[in-house]
This record gives sequence, C-alpha cells and structure tokens, in this order.
Amino acid sequence: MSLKRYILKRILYSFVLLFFALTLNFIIFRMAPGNPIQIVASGMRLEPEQVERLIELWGLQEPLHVQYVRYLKSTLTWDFGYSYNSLEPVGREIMERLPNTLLLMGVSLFFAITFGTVFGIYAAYKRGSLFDLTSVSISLFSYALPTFWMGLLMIYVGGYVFGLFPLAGTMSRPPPLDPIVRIFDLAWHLFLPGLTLFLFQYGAWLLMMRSTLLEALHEDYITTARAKGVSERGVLFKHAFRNAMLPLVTNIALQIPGLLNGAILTETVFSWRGLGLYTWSAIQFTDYPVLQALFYIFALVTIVCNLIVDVVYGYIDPRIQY
Amino acid sequence: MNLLEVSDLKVYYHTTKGVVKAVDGVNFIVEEGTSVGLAGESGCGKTTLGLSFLKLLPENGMIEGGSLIFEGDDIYSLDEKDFRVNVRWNQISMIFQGAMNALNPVFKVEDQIAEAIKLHSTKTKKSERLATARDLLKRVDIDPTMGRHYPHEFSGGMRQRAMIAMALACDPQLVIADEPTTALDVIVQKQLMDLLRRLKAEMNLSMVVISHDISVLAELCDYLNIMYAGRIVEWGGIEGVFENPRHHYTHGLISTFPTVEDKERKSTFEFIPGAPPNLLDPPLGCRFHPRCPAATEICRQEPTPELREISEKHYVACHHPRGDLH
Amino acid sequence: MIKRSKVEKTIGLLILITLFLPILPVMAEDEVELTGPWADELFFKIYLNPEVEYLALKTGDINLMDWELPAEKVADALADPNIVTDSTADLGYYLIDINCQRWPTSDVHFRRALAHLVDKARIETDILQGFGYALDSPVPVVLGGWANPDIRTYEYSAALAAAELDLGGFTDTDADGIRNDPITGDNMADVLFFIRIDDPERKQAGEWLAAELKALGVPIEGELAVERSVCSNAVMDTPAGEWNVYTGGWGLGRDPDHLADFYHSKEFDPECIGGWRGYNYPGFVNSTFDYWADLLKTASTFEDTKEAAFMCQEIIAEQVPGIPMYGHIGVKAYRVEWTDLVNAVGTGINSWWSTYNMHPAAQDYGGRIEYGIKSDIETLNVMTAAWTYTWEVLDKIYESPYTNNPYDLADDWGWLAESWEIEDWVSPTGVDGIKITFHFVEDAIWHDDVPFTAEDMEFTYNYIMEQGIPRYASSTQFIEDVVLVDDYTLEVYQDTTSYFAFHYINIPVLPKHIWEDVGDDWQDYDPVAEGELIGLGPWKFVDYVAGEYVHLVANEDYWKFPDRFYQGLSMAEIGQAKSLSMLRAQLAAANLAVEVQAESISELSSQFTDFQASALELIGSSVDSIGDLADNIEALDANIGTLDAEIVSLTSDISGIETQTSNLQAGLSSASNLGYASIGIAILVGAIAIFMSRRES
Ligand SMILES: Nc1ncnc2c1ncn2[C@@H]1O[C@H](COP(=O)(O)OP(=O)(O)OP(=O)(O)O)[C@@H](O)[C@H]1O
Ligand SMILES: [Mg+2]
Repeated sequence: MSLKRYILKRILYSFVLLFFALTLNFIIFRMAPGNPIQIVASGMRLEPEQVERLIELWGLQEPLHVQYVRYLKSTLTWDFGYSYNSLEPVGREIMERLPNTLLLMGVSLFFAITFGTVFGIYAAYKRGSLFDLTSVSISLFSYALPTFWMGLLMIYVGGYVFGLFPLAGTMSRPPPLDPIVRIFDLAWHLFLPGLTLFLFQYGAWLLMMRSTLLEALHEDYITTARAKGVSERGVLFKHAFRNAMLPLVTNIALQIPGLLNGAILTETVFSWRGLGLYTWSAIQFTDYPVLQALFYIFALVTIVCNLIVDVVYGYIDPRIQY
Repeated sequence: MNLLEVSDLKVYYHTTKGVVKAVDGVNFIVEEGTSVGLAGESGCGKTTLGLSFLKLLPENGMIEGGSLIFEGDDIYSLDEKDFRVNVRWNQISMIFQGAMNALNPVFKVEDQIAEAIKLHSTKTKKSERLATARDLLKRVDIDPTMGRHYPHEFSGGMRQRAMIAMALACDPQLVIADEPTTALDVIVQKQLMDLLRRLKAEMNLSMVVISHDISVLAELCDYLNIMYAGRIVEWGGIEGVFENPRHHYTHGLISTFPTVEDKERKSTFEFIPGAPPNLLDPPLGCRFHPRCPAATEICRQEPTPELREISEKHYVACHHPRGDLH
Repeated sequence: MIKRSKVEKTIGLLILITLFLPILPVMAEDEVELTGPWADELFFKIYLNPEVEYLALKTGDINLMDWELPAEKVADALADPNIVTDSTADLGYYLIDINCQRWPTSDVHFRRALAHLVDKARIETDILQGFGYALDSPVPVVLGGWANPDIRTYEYSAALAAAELDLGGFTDTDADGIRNDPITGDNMADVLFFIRIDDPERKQAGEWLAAELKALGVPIEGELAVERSVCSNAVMDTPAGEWNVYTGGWGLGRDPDHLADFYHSKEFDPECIGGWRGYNYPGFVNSTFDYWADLLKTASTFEDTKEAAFMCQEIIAEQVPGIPMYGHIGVKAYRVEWTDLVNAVGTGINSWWSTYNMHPAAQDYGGRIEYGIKSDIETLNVMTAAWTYTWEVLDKIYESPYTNNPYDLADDWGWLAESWEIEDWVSPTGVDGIKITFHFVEDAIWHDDVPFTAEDMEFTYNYIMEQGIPRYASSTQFIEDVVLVDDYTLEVYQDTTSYFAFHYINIPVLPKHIWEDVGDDWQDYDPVAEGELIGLGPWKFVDYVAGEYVHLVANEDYWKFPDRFYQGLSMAEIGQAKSLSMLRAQLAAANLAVEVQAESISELSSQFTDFQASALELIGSSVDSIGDLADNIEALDANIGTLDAEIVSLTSDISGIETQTSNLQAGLSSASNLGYASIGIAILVGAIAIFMSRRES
C-alpha cells in the first residue's frame, strides 16, 4: 500500500473513531444525574411557561433520536447550544477562550519538548555524571510537584514577594494601547503560568528522552556503529536519537490529554481565561452542554493528535507497514 | 609474519555480583591471509574476545591486562580517537550476528555502508561513496538497487550479506565474524559460507571466525582455537585439531559435531557431562577438570596448565593430553 | 471542636463587637447623606483564585474585594497596616431540620426534646468563636424589625428534654437504657440522623446533638455523615423521606416571606413531582400555620404582615419543624487609602453604596476604585444575567424604582421613583390586589443622553412579561396590568395584596429606545458587542474584556447627584468628554464670583460691624458652652461605661468563615474529581484511539 493510501485510511479511521466518541459523549450526558431545569432553577422560581421555554431551548422535549441528530449537528458545526448556567451560546465562549489555551499550552509544550529533549540527550550522553544526577532529580521533583500548589508558589514569590510578575490575567488592566507593548505585556503575563505548565511537563520529557536514548544505546546497531568508528557523539545524536524519536512522537499525542489536565489547574490558579478554566467552572456548575462541548473537543484533540502521529510515523519510521 | 598477536589478554566484567573473568589470559595469533576459527561452548568468552580486538566492550567490561599487536603496532596504546579512526573498520572490521538488530532500522542500507566509507576516507564525494556501496552489495550478490531500502525490507540472509558488504567497505586487513551464520536456515547458511569462502579467496582476506558451531569453522578456517571458560585450551591447524584433538574438551566437541549437511541433529554439546563453570568463580587448576574423564590430582591444583606446543603448530593446555601415555 | 488559634479567637471577639455596632439599634447613620459617585472610575478586576485576589489587595492591585476573609486571612489583614476590615452578618441561617412526616420526629414532644438538646451557647463559644451568633427564630436579626423577640425558646437542658420525651411516652419501660416506643412498646427504632460533614461547623453541632440524644437513651443510626450531594438526595430529593434529623442551612432575601415558603403545607411535595420534596421538605403540615403563612403573603399593610410573620415564628417555635441554631458573620476588607465606605446590612463593606460613596482618603473625589471579584462575568446582558458577580457590575449601571436604607432592610428609600402610593384594587376577575403608582424623577437621562420617562419602566414590565424572561419570572408573576399615566407616572396593578409584592416589582429599568429593537433576540443579544450597554446609574460602561476586567467611569450627568463636578473641580484629569459640563460649571462659578465680588465690597463694611457684634456675642456664649461641655463629658463617661459593659457581655464566640473555606475545598475536590473524570474520558477515548490504531498498524 502506498503512503497516500495509508494516510487516507488513517483519516477515514479517525472519522469513525470521532463518531464513536461523539456518540459516547451523547450517551454519557443523557445518563448524567440531575435535570437542567433543576440546575438552572436553583436560585429562582420558574413559572411552568418558563420551564417549557427552557426545555424547548435545549430541545429536551424531543425524542432521543431527534435530540441525537440535533446534538450531532450542533457539535459538528461548533455551535454547541446554550450553557445551562449562563444561557450563553457555548460555541462563542469556546472560540473566545481557545486562543489563550493554545498559546499557553503551545508555548509551554514547545519549551518543555525543547529543553526536555536537549537536557535529556545531554544527561544520557553524560550518564552517571553530576549533571545527569541533578537533572534527573530536578525532573523527578518538578514532575511530582502538585501544579496547583506550584502555581500559587510562583504567584506568591514572583508576583507578591518580588513583584516581578503580575498576579493574574492575560493582560495588564487596563491593557496598554500600543500593539507592540501589548505583545510584551502578554509575554509578561504568560511567564508564570507558562513556567508552571512548563514544569508540569518538562520532567516527563527529560526522563523519557533520557531513558529511550539509553535504551537505544544498548541496541546491537549501536555496537555496529561504534565498530564502524562512529564517534560517541555521532552514535548518540545520529544513531540513537533517530530511533528514540519514534517513542517521543507517540508521547506527544499521549501527553496532550494530560496537558489539558495541567492546563485546567494552571489556568485556574492564574485566572488565565482559557478552555481549562472554562472546564473548571463548568464542572462547578454541572454545566452539561459546556462539558459536553469540552469533552468533544478533548476527544477531537486526542484523535487528531493520534492521526498526526500516525502520519508522521508513516514518514519517519520506515518499518511502518502501510 | 603475524598480522595479529594477542598475548595474555584479560577482559573482566565488573558486576554487582563480582568480577566475571570472561577472558582470562588469552594468547591468540592470526597469520596474514589465514582464517582462524574460535570455538567453544556458549558463555565461554568468544564474543568478549572478539569485541576486545576493537575495544567495543560494554561499559562494565575492562581490558585488565595483555597486549594486542597489529601489524607490529601495539594498538592498545593508541589514544581513543586514533584507535577509532585508524583501527576500527579501517584495519579491523566485524560481522555481527545476522539478526535484524545489527543494522540501524531507520537508515537505508546503502547509506549505512556509505557512512562507514565516509568515516575513514572523508575526502570522497557522496555519490562516489554510494557507488562503492552499491558495488559492494553486488559483490555479495545483492541487487544494488536494493540499497535504497531499509533493513526491515531485507530477509535475514540478505541482511547478513549486507553486513558482510559493509565489513568490506574500507578494505580491512582483518575481518572478525561473530557467529556469521547462526540463526539462519541451513540453505542460507550454506550460501553465506560459500560467499565468505569466495571472498576470502578473491580478496586474500584474513579472518577470525567465531562460532559455537564447529562444523562452520571446519569449512572456513585454516586454524582452530578451542576456548573453554575464558581460556584457549587448544589451537592448531584445522586438520591437526580435527583429526587428532589432544585436549579432552576438544575431543568432546569434535567427536559428535554434525556436518553442515547433517544439521538436523542440532544438539551439539549435550554429551559433555556437566555444565560450563561459573566465570565469577572458576575452578582452581585446570578449569575443565570437574568434567574431564582424565582428571587427576595435579589437574585440581594450581597453576592452571599453560598452552604448550605438543607437535608442530599444535598447542594444548592439558596435563594429560590425549594420545600421551600416562 | 473546631480548632482556632488564640489570635483568631481574639479577632473573632473583635469582629463580634464591631458587628453589633451597625446591626444592634439602627443607629443614626441613615442621617448621613450618601452621595456619589465620588471616584472617577470603577474598575473591576477578575481573579479566579481567591488566594491571589487577597494578594492583590495586599499589593494594592485592588482597593476593595468581594469575598469574606477566612479566619487565617483575617489575622493577616488585621496585621497589615494597609488593610481595613469590617464585618457584617450574612443573610442566612443554619438549623436542625426535622422530618415531621416520619416517626418518631413526627411527634412534637420528640421535636421539643431535640430543641432542648441544642446547646447554642456552646455553639457560639466553641464553634463560631466570633464568626457567627446564635439565633432562636428563622428570621435572623439582620432582617430588622421582622424578628419576633417573644417566641418560645428552649433552654438547653437534658432534664427538660427527658421530661419532654417522657411526656411523649418515650419512656424506658423495660429499663434497659433504651427508651421504648409508645406505640409498639418495644425499644425505639433508630432515629436517622444526617450530618453534613463537608461543613465542619454543622458537623460539630450535629455530632453534639447526636451524642446528647444517645445519652438520653434514644438510639441513632450511625449519625449518617454525608456530603452535600448525598444529603440533598436522601433528605430533599426522594419521596421516601427516609430521614429524621438533618443539619440544614438557608440563604435568605431581604423579606421574611421565606417563613411561608419553608413551612407552608403547599410547599411540601411528598411525591417529588417538582423534582424534590419542595422548600418544606421537613413536611410540616399545620393549618393554623398555613393560615398565617397565607396572610404573610397576602396582607397588604406592614402591620398585618408583621403580625403574620410574628405568628408564623411563634408557631414554628411551638411546633419545632426545625431548630434555628446560628447565623454567620463575615469579614471583608479594603485598602486604607480609601474612605467613606458603607457597610450595608447583608452585603458588607463591598456594597453598592460603598462604590457610590467612597473616595480616596487624601481627597474628596477622584481616583479609580479597583474592585477585585473572584469570578468572571457571565454576560452583561441584563435579561439573562443570573450570576452574582455579573450583578456586581450591572447594578452599578442600571437603576431600579427604589432602594433601601443600607442599614435597615425594612426601610425602603425612593430612588428613581421619588415616591409611590399603594392602594387596594380589585381585578376585573374579582381578585383582591394592589395598585402601585410610581412617581418618577423628571431629570434622569440615559447614558446616551436620551431622557428617561415612565414609558421606559412600562416597556420593561411589558417586555419581560411578553418574552417570558426566566430571570424576572418571579418579579412579574403577579402583575396584571401596567398603565402609563404621564411621562413620569406609572401604575402597576398586581393581583396579590401581599406587602412584599411591592418588592417583587423593583427591577432594573431598560432603555426602551434600545431594547425595543432587540425584541425576541434577548437570549443572544450582546449589548457589549452592539455598543449598547446603556443604563441610568452612577457608572457608565466603558469596556469589558472577558476574564480580565470591566471598566466603568463616573456618570457626570448622574441625575441623583448633578453637583459632583461642581464640587470636584479637578477637571484636568477628567478629559475631553467632560469638558462641556466642566465649562458650564466654570462659567457658573465665574458668574458667581463676579457677583459675589461686587456684593462683597458693599457687604464687607456691614459684615465688619456684624462681626464686631457677633464677636462680643461669641465671648458671652462660649462661657455658657464651657458649662455645657462639662455636662457632655459626664454623659460621655457614662456612655463609655455602658459600652464597656456591652463589650464584656459579648463574650460569646465566633466563627464561620473556616466553614466556607472547607465548603469551598469540598466543592473544589468534588469539582476536581469530576475534572479527573472528564480527563479520564478524554484519555479513555484517546487510549481507545491509540489501541485501535496500533492494532490497525
Ligand atoms: N556486559 C556483561 N556484563 C557481565 N557479564 C557479561 C557481560 N557480557 C557477557 N558477560 C558474561 O561473560 C561471559 C562470556 O560472554 P560472551 O558473550 O563473551 O560468551 P560467548 O562465548 O560469546 O557466548 P555465546 O556463544 O552465547 O555468544 C558469559 O558468562 C557472560 O555471561
Ligand atoms: Mg557470543
């Protein structure tokens, strides 16, 4: 089979999976306890007509299969209906928050991968050295630290004690007018949450890079390379690294759901207005339409990441059978 | 003149349980243009000896003593870089066991061969190197266009041929082949042996062939070394050793070895009673004495018997060699 | 027993003392004229983490914050010279709920016995420790005159409780240490006792009560310790009603009509048709009570309503469908750089009145109030906004017909409607109702300079009723008709005679010229995006960035207080938008100055002679006043003495806030459980994805 057909097949397959996730997502929320009217009506008393209106708003009066089609349509068009809590359109809320989350996750992921792999490779290269020992301990430590606590510590030290960084938010309030200054302002606000989320991931990347490299270094082809006269550095960076890359790429896809978890905590601590924070508040209010939309997005992200990994694998791992 | 002369080589592995004396005072000679076999039970230190020629030992393996003279130079005294650039592959190359893993799975075969050339003749152009690589593939009966493929697309036999082609890439004076045919089926084994024999003749190669399968050595080698528990117990011309094994261990090995044509009887060494010794704590005296039918009190005492020339170019390390009168 | 440090206990005591200053007798503070806005800007900063918001108060990033400080933060705030704290009682109370439908709590003697076993003094001293106060009526003292001071109270006494049990026939006839059931004669079945463990205060109070009961020989099943969700399911949401005693709590509004809601038999829904057992989940059914509860909601005069409220409280005290235990006291904080904040009853120092009246301590006007709020704004659409923090913003922008004395919830103050009349009225269908005639002020203008008229208010009521807007459903539920009399007079007809009906209709006025175009679109309407967030209030909307801030500026044309910019002449900073009114002000001032100067020349001489005369007079009168002063000092001494006595008498204890922290933590942990569940699902899907894709390849 050609690479093209392989990719097509993966895409098709991802769609099937997505459909499966969509359906599961629908079923889970139909089975969830509590009815929306009760959730909305907490704190106000509703007349029967009002209750009817709300039921209509969420289409709850319709038979399940009609609701399902409605749900499919609203999900696939990124409309997502209305929040139980704010009665606002969920799609709009999500689009507003998406860029902030992408920025926070993207930047921290980028630096975590970069620093994690570079230091991981170096630690593997200098295995047993003081550098190796310290970076492994630091990684284990940062990996084990609770993110929420870490974030608060950062705010306390960086924001309060030294006053170097802002305590909350994505921008100065009110924000600077000059667009260039605004970019710096954003970076300044991104620093602490970014660092927190970076530390959330960094250790895992370093440890994984180091261990896959060390594993690769015990393979027979490494002895062959050494026998050929390849230098220690060449062995590490060319022969071992190319092989260690493969699990690394898989790991990116596997890390994303965990990263979302970290983002929920980080965004909450830092008042960073993104999807994580949205998830947190939706959970607080048992806001099912919002949670349903977010779960769908998380599933979508996971599936897309897997698809990307599969495709990238197709290119970088010659052993993949199409 | 001897191409390679190893004297009193000691290679120990340092483990948490203690020191594994995998090679313990080995003397070993390869004459130019000859191929020398190295046989022995599994775990007796054959691979360790082979790897130590190229200083490729695992991290915990140390060369604790002895010297290695190659073409008159003491190559162990070279610094690391010199050794890497000049000795490895350039003078001594190696054919590893033919399993999947000896070739790097993520690089094309021809690139891996070309890499070996590049490392030792940096001035060549890439296209030249690739052309040479394809030539080499042709020499080992592989379609040169296959070079563009990855190792996993090769069959086991092809991979081993590619390995051989790679070993020849820098025109080495000595090729070490560690179990070149193990784990391959009989027909492929035979083809490979033919290939090695042909190449040896064509290129006047000097070779060290390591195998626990003595029949392979019988077909390929001019001389044979028998190793037991980290020591060479007998060596000599192939015919001499085969027809008149003087060490009791050698006798045991040879007496029932299967021929290449008769490989169904795979069980090779079962008949030697007892198990090979633990190299962490080898027996005092002759290391073979617990299993030896002719052992006497002297065999159990130190010092361990040294190799001595028992007839022309035939050495044995035994207090009571076979054929000697007691 | 809840552990608190010595410092915290001392603080609790201090809080209790400061608290009772405003809420005991309504003091003379309503005489102080509250005016504003004095600050130039009102800037809401959104913090989603309360810890961080508090740090922001400490650094001065905000001047005022919205949430109550937990005990350990109170200690810190008191030690911080930049922070001022003030306390207020919450609108709410905690009680022992008793199931009147299940044996043996259906027996009134048993319930009274329970009431004798609640040691409120100990709750005050050992649990609340200053952050709360004991109460006997379901109408807490913050509701002002509605609380009946003469109801039956139950002295804490095991002996009296035992006597009540004996009276009910729950005697230990077989002398095995367990009281016997008067009906079966056997040992009593277990009493089902639900204790909320997510709230340490209620947990402690509940455990004490359970222990007392056991000591009296009443068997209890397990003191069923439960989280909020479990309890609401077992106690409130299932028809079975398998419970006897529960540690409950309620938040309240400004009116005492909750008395009727909580215990009227029609609010009891044993089949859970409405999704739960109703407000009256204890299932208290008493026709006399129903009579007074109906009257409470239909009486049209204050006197009649108050009598009904008092009777309801008496019956509750007699019949004990619940045992009121205590109310909370909260401490809130602001920065020392600001002054003249208003600690309104039920809200505290971050009240509407504070933002209206406060100004920097160093000057009489100007500055930017930076107000930290601990949640995002959901929407600034006044028709859908349901969220407390959204209303923190919206109630600064919109105005309602009237308001109430910040120090007395029962005292209505005219506002947009200067005055009103309430008359009896009979609807065409013969239902008794009331007619309310509002007389609105004539000089109010909307933020976009369109004049306000009664038509806007008429439109608002009609719009809400036509569109059936859920948020205002209860506000307009009794409105029969709205009639516009003239530009500033509006009649509202309600088909209820309830005294509180007048409170229901006090809702923010919509600008008709904007909302008539919104029409059916109210659900999706985004006034910010449309640039149409137009109100009447003291603050004008400038800018909102979701999750970050809301920016309001002072309304220089605020109808209630047009003098603002004559007094605060620091126009330089205020900018061009205000220049017109500034010029007007300056012109007036200049004119005045010219007149005054002309006059003053002629007047100066006469003034001089006047002055001479008055100086002589002054000398005479000051001799008198020295005498007066001496008297005053004596009176003051006496006052100080009584105050001291009060302080000593208020040795009761305190607490409350730690409870909220733990509530919050419990909430957070259940939230994060759900969070993990959600991540779990995502991972599950991911795992399935990976697993299947691996299998594929
Ligand atoms: N890295 C190592 N650390 C410790 N001991 C080792 C190590 N490598 C090999 N050994 C031990 O050294 C001894 C010799 O091993 P070696 O691989 O040289 O034997 P061999 O004769 O090649 O055996 P085979 O026929 O199985 O390949 C064995 O006892 C083996 O267990
Ligand atoms: Mg070996």
